[in-house]
Amino acid sequence: MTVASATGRAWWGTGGLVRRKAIPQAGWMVLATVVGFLVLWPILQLQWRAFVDGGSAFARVLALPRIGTTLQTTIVLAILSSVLAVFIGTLLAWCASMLPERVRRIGEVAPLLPLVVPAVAAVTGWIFLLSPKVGYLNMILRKLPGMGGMEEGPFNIYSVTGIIIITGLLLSSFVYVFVFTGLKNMGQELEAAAAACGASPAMRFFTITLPLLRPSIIFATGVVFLLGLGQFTAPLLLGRTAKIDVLTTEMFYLTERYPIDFGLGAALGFPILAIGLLVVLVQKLALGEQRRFVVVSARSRYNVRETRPWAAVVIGIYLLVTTVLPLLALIYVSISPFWSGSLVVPEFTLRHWTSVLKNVGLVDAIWTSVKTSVIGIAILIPLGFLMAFALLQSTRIIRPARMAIDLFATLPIAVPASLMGFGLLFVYSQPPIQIYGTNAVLVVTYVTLMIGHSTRLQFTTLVGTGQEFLEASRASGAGALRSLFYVLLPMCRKGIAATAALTFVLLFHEFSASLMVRSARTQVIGSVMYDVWAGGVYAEVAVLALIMVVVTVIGVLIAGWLGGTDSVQRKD
Amino acid sequence: MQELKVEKLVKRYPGSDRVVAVNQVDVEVEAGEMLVLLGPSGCGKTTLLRCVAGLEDAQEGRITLEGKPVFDASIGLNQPTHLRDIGMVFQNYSLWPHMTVQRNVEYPLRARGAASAERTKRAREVLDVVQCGHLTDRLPAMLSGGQQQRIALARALAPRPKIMLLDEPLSNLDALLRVELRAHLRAIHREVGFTGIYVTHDQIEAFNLGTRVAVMNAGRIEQLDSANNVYERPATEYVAKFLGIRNCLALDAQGGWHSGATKLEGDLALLDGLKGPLQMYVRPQSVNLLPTSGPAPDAGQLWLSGARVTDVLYSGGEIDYVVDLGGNTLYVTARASAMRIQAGDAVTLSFSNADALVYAQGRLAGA
Repeated sequence: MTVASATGRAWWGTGGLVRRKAIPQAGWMVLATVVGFLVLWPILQLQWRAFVDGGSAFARVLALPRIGTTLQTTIVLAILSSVLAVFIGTLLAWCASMLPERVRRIGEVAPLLPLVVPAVAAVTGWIFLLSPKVGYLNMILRKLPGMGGMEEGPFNIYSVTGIIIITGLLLSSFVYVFVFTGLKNMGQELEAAAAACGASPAMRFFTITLPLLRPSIIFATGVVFLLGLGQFTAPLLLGRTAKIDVLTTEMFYLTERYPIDFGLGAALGFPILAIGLLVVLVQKLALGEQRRFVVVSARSRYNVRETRPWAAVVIGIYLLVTTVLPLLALIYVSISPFWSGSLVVPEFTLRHWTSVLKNVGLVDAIWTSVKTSVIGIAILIPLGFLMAFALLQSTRIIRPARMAIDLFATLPIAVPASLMGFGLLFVYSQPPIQIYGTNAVLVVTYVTLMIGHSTRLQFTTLVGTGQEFLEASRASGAGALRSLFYVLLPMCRKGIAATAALTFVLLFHEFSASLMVRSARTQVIGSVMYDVWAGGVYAEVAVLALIMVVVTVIGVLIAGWLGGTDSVQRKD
Repeated sequence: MQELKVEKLVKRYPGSDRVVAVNQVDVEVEAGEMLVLLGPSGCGKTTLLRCVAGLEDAQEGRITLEGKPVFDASIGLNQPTHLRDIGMVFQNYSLWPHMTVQRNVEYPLRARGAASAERTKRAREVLDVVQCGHLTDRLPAMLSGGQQQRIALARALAPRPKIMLLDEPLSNLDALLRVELRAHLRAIHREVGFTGIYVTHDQIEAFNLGTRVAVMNAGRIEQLDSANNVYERPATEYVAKFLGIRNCLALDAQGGWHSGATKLEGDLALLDGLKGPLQMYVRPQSVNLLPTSGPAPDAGQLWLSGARVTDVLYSGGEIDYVVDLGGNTLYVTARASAMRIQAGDAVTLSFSNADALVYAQGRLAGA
């Protein structure tokens, strides 16, 4: 072939190369800019308010009554509830790995079931059970011998301890997800090697399993600590009675007054933001030396962990405590004439159900929740997919764009939903983008909150799928789009469906940010539930909580159905 | 005295009652002996090894280590792996990535409660044996595959276990390294004198390392004998095929022995008293090609005439001839300098009757 004919071919020539590269690069920059705007705009705008006027907002914070106690409660709650969650979650993961064959499939999923019950519903259920005077469980316990003469208790859910335990239980499922995945990916070969070296099961656990799980546990600890720091639901619902406040509830009370003192809210949120960023940084540093954790093979032929029937009992108790009992309490209250504090109800009634379903405002709020969640997912899945894809392209996308995308996928996870909600309320209730009072603000809120999760989850799926399949498709002559639609998407279908399911659960249950950005005309199920709760109509709260559970289950089932069966994903 | 005794061991995998991974296996390993379990993937060799290690629970049978039963299905005895005093080398090395080389090697000693000074001393000792004394402070991720496998070997040797179990330890290494480590392993076995079971699908490894070799097929041991005997006298047709004896002649007795339409001529003493049909196996290296016009073969030879060379393949110092004999394809390997025979030439195939392996109903005749 002559030189002239070779250079004459467009795909070969310099001009062709530049044209091919320039357009996608610009596209990635646009993506980074859009997401960057979504995430940074509310945070920066709000924090700016805290620092104008020479920081007078911080002076106003310090002047708040009991601010010292509030700050202390926030931090104690974050630390103790995450310690509790990490302990329970790790224990559950360990138990799940020792389940007998017969119950393994169910047992491995069981610790995730609490996620189906919205935090608001779970907390409400717990109030019905452990309210000091009229909680069902307390009343039953008082009937036990040796408890005679007590008028209330023995448990009081309206206490810092109560809030810590409930929060810890709510967060433990998240720890389970990370640690159990870590355990599964690790395989058992390294434990088998230790057994062959003469190590007892206990020695294996402490010298091999636990150290190798360190990345999963550190990551999970960071995540639940951030969630504990921004915890809002339990302190709001449980803390009011005993005047227990945390920074996020203080911020929420600000939104209930008019005009809203955004500067004060920003200053209140500042410590959370600062600690949150610090946690993410520490997490990155702690996980830095990854090669100590490079584990040989996920598909292990070895099965060395002995099965233990009591493992199933532990998981069963966890499920009973976190899910079954609160749900039973909700059902019981929803069909009782009123929550009376009496164990025996003369007759059951459906009037709370009919009253909720006839209430136009409530039904509208439920529909708004479903609609905004579904629209949110429709935006989040492709957006997260693109971002995850960008993060994987170490050579083909310019570094600044990738780093920016990485940052914007991390920030929303580091900023608690309540704080983000407060910032969103601030920026979107004033020009230039005044969408407060419309459903659009809910969708924007949801996308901003969840873009990090959507990206991370789909990133995991893409990593698991492996680059070679895509490269094989390109090498077979398929273009980028054909490879995407015929190879990558079908292979990732299950992972994408799982992301959609989890996103739906998180959005439909969203309470903290929704409560901040709702208005009289734009209510979601979480926000109306709070109003009904504040109005003291507990039976209707129970009905709404149960509706939330039912809709969640339906949503998850639909996502599972769209994801299809395991067959495509099975790689071995 | 036997270090290990396996009796009537049966292992079925749950859910598939028909597939028996280990089927009524009896085997004994003498002290200082290296027993190689050889066979293709899925023959049950690794499962048998894992049953000995206690990483797999068998359904029937007995396993005895140094006279003490560690597994006995009849009385429900099943000692857990960590109490069996074994040393095991895994295919994927399975070094713990969070521990240095030194800590990896010390681990089995720690598990057995050895004092710190003794652990350090012994770890150094075995690391020197595997020529990795300079790597003590490294993490496994910083080592090459060959180094990792040496460390894994040192770790298994460190506590002087009753028995060493090696599960395809060389199969993840590249060819040159495999040869080197094989020689090294053989030297270590001589030097240390451990008792071991070695699982492999590679016959060269098996013959190099095995004091005795057990060839496995579908959960059973087909042949258990010295490496030399397994090579020279494969007990069954299956073993002969597995060892790569490619030339097979189906023989019928119809007015003399015939393979297809070709008559087998020469010294037929070894077929005396046998009834057809028979299978005769000959290694490619044992067959000679003679020009049809040449003199008749020597005494003690067998020959078949009327064959035709279809292809000549040069591979280094040897030549492989592909030969057609009445529709049956045969292979002959000869020194490169030996003959000038080309594709298309008519030839006579001859071989010594000592090199012919005759099987009746799949079993070696006269064995």
